[in-house]
Amino acid sequence: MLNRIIGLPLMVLALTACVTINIYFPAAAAEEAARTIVRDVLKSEPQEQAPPARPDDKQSYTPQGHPLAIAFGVMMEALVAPAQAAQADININTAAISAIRASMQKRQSRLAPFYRSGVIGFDNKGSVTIRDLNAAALGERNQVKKLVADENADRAKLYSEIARANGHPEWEAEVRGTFAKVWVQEALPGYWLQDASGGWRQR
Amino acid sequence: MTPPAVRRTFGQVNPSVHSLIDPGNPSCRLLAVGVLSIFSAAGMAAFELGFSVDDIEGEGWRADGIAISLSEVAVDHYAVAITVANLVLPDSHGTLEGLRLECPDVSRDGSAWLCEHGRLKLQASPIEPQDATWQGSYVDDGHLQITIPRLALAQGTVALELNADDGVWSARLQPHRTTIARLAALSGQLALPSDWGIEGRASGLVKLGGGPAGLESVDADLVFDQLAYASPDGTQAAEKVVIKTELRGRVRKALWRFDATLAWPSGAAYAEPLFIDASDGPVTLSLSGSWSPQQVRLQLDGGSLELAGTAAVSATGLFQGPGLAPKDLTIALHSDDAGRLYGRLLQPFLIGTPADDMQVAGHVGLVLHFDEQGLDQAGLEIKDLALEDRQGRFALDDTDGSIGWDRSKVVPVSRLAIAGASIYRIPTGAFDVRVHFAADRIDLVEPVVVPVLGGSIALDRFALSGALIAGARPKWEASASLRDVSLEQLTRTLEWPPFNGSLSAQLRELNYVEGLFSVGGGLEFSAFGGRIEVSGLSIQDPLGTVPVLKADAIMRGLELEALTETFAFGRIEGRLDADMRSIQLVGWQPDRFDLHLYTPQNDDSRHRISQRAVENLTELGSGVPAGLSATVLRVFDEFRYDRIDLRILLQGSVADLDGLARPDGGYYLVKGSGLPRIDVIGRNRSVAWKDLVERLQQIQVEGAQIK
Repeated sequence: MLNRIIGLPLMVLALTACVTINIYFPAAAAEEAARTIVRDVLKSEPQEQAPPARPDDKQSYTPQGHPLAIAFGVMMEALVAPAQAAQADININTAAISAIRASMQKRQSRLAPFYRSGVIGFDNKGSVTIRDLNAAALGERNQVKKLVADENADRAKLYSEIARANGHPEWEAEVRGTFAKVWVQEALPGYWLQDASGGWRQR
Repeated sequence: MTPPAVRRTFGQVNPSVHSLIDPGNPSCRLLAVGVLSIFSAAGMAAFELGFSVDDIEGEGWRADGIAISLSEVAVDHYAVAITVANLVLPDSHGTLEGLRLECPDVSRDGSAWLCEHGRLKLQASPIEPQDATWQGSYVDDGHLQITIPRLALAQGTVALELNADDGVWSARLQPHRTTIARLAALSGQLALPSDWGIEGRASGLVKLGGGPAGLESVDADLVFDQLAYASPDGTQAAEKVVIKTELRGRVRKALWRFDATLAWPSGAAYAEPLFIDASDGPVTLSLSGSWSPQQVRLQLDGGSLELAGTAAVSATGLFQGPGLAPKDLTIALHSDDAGRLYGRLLQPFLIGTPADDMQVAGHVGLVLHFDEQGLDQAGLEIKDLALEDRQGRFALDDTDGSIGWDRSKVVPVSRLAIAGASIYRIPTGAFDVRVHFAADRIDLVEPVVVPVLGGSIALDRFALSGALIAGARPKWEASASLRDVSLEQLTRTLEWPPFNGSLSAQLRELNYVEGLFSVGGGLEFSAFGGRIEVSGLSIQDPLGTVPVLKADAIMRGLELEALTETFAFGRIEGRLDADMRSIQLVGWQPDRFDLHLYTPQNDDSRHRISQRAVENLTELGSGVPAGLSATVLRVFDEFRYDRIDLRILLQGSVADLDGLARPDGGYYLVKGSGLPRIDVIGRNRSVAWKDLVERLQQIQVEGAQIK
């Protein structure tokens, strides 16, 4: 009864009001999500002590199985008591994002020596850039090029997937910009970073 | 040529010869020689002669502070010294400072003049400061010979020997550890990048010969060692490279014939994207042919490039015109180690494509022919070729065959015999391919039947276009049929829960355009006693990091008993229909779908759900038994149900759930029937996808009611 008393005016309000909703890019949430991912990737460097992951970092779930199996599992799950849907401001818990993160984590240990020697660095656009190929041995240069090509392909896919997974593909540029900032902030000691004006410095 | 101009001269001749030469008189040198001749002919016992010139200037050159002295030291023995304070060389070759050329003993021997111990000094020069000895002779019949055993050059030395006889001349140069960058700068012809830090030395022997018309022969044996450079952007670099060259050239009627070899026995170089390390196998290049500078025409009679252990390339051809564009060029390549060929020469060009991380083996032969328009014919022979993507996406087993291609005409059928292949770990049996390659198209000559998983895929039609023309976007279209492909083998291969049944389908309008693979027709197959139809199947970027699969599917008359046995959830009996729309898998994981599972209308099959199914589901969910066994329900092995109905709408991370509506706001997932009755009722409408799957371990049974 109490619900009805409170709910009725709200329903009337909802039916009569004309509401315009503007969806703004959730910058703070995006930065938090980016930090989670970036730390997760960078800590994959075995020799280096990365900053500890935050206690709420539990966003690495990768669902497995094919549609039929999952559909059946879902049906069984539906036997369950109500579960509260967890809709974060920025969702990074999709299969694609998890796959990309795993791919980047796997690559990080091979990238790390080149970050430290200054061959490559975090640029100001959220990508990895070859900044001094001469710092790599001749026989390593194509390896660097492949690592950078693969890493940037993953990063580009990551940014577009985050935007898409949150229902706003048009956010891709903002997501990339957020990551560009966070990669630089979270870079490990010895890494080379590009500032806004294009100059490089070593952390 | 403008005769040299003497601006101001004065001379001093002893004894008592004094000459004043008018400024601007170009005959000063003749006068000096004339004076020398007079005294020589006079046969005087001893004399001393000297004169100096302030400056003398010709076209492009200028000398000042000139002094010449000549004295007779004995009968037929003379001392000569010429000094020039500054000599500005023509063509901007620099200035010689403090030049002194002397011979303390020029002797007359019959018709010859000899100097055994001459000296040459230069305080400064574009080459180096010099302090060298020389030896020379001149015979009255015109034969001149000069030898300089050691001249400082480009931080090394060079020995010179010059012979000239009545217009025919030869020169012999022996550079020793001369620096390449300095030599290039001195040549004025070879412009090397100034910021590459080019290092390296040249040593060896160069023999030049010629006549009045100019250079006629060249024989060069040179060794370049300690070669190193690095472009600022790092795309071009070399370290510790040693190059040995041999060049033989002869000219006749303005046509040079040449033979050249270049050996690269050690060191490494990077020329983006190629990296060649001679320690992996030395590199040898040899060329022979003719060169006509007048016609700008290069005829290559024989060219070969040997990358030891990797590949051998040979070439013949004609190049002509500005830029020496090929008019008719044939290149043949052979490799008995396709793995090294791929690793050293091909993979660097494939970086960033799905083919940049493969393991390759086998033998390859390739012939290319170019005409004025570019590549016009190609032939490829392969034997025992095997390749495997290191990420496990595709593989090709031992393959033999030949491929022919022509830009403008029909060529013989290309044949490939493939021992087996795999894509995403799904293996195939052996199959043959017969295709026509022409222009920018590849067409099947006959259907290709590929044995796969106990059945087969028959590729009825396949046409590829745009793959063989630079800049074109490749696309292919095909049609195929699947026959009796074992679902059991398929699911086992993919490590999925095993399905029974077989897959047969007509795949019409298979297309691949700009990274999108799509199937125009549908797949229809039988599984779990029912029928499954998949339509609208497409895969974006199938070999990329995150492939995106889209499809729709309907399932009719599935036997739940077989299905539940497969997933070991305990037995459920009855039939099940399903509509699955807008399926989207991203990175092969579910991202979006709209699924409706339901008991078919008028399904008269037996509807039962076992207690074990309930128990298993409960235990799977919560980790503890459902509690049915502690209730009176334990006496029942199974329960009857009326309908199953479940809708799941997955959108990204959230799944919306629904079923048969109930008046209280919940919904039936399983609506029970008879006694004892269990209704499975859902109440949550929206579930986080990750929680949904995780909470399979938190399954509860709600609404167990005994009526």
